[in-house]
Amino acid sequence: MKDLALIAFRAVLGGTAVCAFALVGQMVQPKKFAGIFAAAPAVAVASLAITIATKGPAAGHASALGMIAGAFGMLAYCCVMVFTLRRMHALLGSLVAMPVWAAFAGAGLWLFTR
Amino acid sequence: MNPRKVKAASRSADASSRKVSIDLGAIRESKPRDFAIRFAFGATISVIAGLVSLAYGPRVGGLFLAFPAIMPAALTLIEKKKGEGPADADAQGGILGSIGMIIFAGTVFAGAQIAGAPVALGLALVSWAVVSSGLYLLLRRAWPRVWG
Repeated sequence: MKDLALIAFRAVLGGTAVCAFALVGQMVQPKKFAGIFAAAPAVAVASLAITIATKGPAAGHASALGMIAGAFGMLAYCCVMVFTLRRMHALLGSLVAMPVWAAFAGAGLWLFTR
Repeated sequence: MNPRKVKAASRSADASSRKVSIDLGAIRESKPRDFAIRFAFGATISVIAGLVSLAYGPRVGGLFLAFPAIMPAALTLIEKKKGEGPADADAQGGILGSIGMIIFAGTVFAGAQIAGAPVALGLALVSWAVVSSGLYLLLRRAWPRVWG
């Protein structure tokens, strides 16, 4: 029950953080600079704060290790997406590149945990 | 779609504002529905990360803290409102943001057990902002045809 309440709290905090970063991204110019905020660690700030506060620094340390692998996947995803976006519409172009995130993030996690 | 045309539109999207600035009036352009969509995506990925952490441990759950869940929604909204050029420019900026994200995660990894949550997260957020913005300014100066 406690875990489910924490997940609900995580959802509210994560959603709010995403909106806050999106708001800043909307206000800043030029557009390429604003794009930085599209890849902001909004969900991570909220989730890691809750993880460290409730489960201790060791859990936060482990989560951050997983996040390093995920962030490498994100970097590969963004690089590929720039090319897919120029050939397809935004929704399709950004979805088609998703397996790249999975491949790089998965490979990173495997490297960190073996 | 013609990749060359999108690339050219991306360049002209930034042509009007070369300096980094803040336009508070831009808030008025966004509708509550846009933020509701972003909130829903952010909340969903937070729940997924939490559930995966419960089932497979924090290391696997941590992967999803850097999942590009918001990208499809954000880019679709930008493409609908402002066109392909600004969406392409936004995606390019995402590359720099994700490099900053690696530094963010690395800072939390190194600092969580030493400095505690508020200090480690604060420092990580500052590192993300400094690295991403610094890279943008550096690339704009070194490679103005692409980043200018």
